[in-house]
Amino acid sequence: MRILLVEDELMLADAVRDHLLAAGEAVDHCDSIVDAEIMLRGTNYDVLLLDLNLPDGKGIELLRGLRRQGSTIPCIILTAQDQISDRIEGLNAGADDYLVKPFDLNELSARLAAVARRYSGNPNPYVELDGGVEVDLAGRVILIDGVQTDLTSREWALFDQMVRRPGQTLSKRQLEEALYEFGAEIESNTVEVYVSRIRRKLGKDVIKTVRGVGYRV
Amino acid sequence: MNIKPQNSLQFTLTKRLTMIVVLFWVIGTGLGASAIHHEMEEGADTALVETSRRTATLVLDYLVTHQVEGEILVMPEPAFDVADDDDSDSDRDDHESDRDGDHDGDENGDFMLYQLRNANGEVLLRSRNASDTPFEAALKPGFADTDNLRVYTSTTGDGDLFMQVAEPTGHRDEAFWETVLSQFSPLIFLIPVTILAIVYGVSRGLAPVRQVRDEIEARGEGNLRPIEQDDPIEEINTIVTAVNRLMSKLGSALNAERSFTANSAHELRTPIAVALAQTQRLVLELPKDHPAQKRAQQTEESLKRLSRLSEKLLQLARAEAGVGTIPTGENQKLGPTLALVIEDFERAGADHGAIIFDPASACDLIANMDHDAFAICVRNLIENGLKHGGGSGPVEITVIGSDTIRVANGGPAVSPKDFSELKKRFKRSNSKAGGSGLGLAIVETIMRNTKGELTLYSPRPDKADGFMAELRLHQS
Repeated sequence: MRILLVEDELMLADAVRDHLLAAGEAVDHCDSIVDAEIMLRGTNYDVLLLDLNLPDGKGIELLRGLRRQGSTIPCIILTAQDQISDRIEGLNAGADDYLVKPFDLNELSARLAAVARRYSGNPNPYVELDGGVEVDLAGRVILIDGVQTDLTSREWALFDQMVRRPGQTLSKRQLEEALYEFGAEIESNTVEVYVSRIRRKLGKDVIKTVRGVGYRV
Repeated sequence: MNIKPQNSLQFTLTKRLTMIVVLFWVIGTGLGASAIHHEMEEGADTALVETSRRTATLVLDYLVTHQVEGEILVMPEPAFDVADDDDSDSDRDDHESDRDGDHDGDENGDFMLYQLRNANGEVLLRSRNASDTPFEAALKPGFADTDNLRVYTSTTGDGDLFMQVAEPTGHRDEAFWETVLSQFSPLIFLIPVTILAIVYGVSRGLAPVRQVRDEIEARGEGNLRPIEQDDPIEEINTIVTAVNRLMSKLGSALNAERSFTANSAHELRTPIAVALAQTQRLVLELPKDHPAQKRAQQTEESLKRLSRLSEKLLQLARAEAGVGTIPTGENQKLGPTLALVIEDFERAGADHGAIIFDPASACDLIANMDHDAFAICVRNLIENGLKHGGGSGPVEITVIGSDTIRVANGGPAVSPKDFSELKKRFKRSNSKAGGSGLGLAIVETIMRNTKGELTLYSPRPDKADGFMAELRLHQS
């Protein structure tokens, strides 16, 4: 998933970013509403992690603005405001979930995965693919005929994008989004390289190539 | 505080007004009676003088024409009395019953008595209703009083005869008292009526005071709205303005205190969040067999405990700052809030039947309680249930009626010794469960703020084990 993290507490943002990167997510970080608006205009993010108290305004106003513009980007609010009225306000503004600081990074990952599943239209974290491949999206476990197989973070990031939308063809551009770390260089054949590696680990029939369009599982 | 009814403003005003009115009435009545007495005496004396002057000539003439030596002449009845005579004869002496000397007038209402006496004091002539005995008044011109007569003496003839006209004092007193009674007897009825009117008037007059009293009584931590008056009264308006100013200051102080705790929460949570996140990263990034791994894990655990404890302390600070009630004093629908709190637990992983709750049962749940305070209460009770009842069945949340919530869990019953201290701060019934020991103290404080009630049961009603907390919410 490509995630935009809007958080002005840099040390917290650093830890969250590292955690999500280690989990195979692509994370961009900014610390103000203005920067967030610019980045949201230029990139299709899968999830927005939004702090409420930002130096140039309230994060909730950014979210309201996005919803007014018709944006359906999933949003999880990260905030130190723990009152139920704040939570109700956040959910009413269009947030999908609300995580109060301090939070467990693993819980953040679980909430992210749950929100992403809800948006993919398939809230079930267990997916069965061709070739006897079973995927537990929540636990990030892949079994081939009952035997666990591990993917690297980037391999998982790419595979996760496809598994969340089984049967749906994703363009090379869409898959690149999952691999991008903001500012990182992506070679023209990066997607092909990672698809090839995943096929080697999970079997060549798991990912299908739709010529001229992209890939699907 | 119990206040005696006689210490009420209404009672005091009524009593004093009544006393003042009655006192003035008595004084007025006394002065009036005195004036009447004085005027009546004057009138009666004038009548004696007039009678003496007008009768003297007739009496002298009658004496000259009818005098018989050694006999007291009795003046005949006036001509108009003939018609009033009740028998057929013309004898005027048939009404001489007053010759007994008691001088109380006759039955025809003629109370004027007179005697014509010589210088020796002998009675030469008398009126029909007078006695033969001379009046006890001295033969000296002017007024004199005897035991039962008011006598006016004047000289007549050549100055050797004395005309004495008298009126019984009993008649005068009777006339006076009849006049006074007829004048003042209505007051006997008017005084009670006036007292009732005073009671009613004072009661009506104090209605704005009672209204302001009720308004002030309705104010409290949860209701600091300014007191509004439709038709301000000057004296009360001063009090109301002062009370409103005081409530405004109190509201500002409370808001500042609450704002401080809220800001403190924010300021404290963020660095803990940073420390926890960085430590968790450290744990994940260190090799499993690294010597610092264990310490990093211990640090992570300590930070989590610090996070939970700080959250509870901030909740307690808020509770003690008086959060809980709604400033408008209106009931709030709390069902959706309860559902949201439970949803939070489920999102955090307490699903798979760990909590049993029927959202439909909470549709009617209302109370005069702030959503945040209510959420803190139920969150703490559910946390307790999950912590202490884990592995012994689900936590059951039941809403009864519109104002009662029960949170019950299984597990061993709390010992009677621990049970009595559960609502105290830092008291834990089970130290292994790892709670802060503040949850129930927080709930108890908020319930007290909102006039609600927290009741604990262990074992659960109709069960041999477990624990149940019941919140009875206050409705306005």
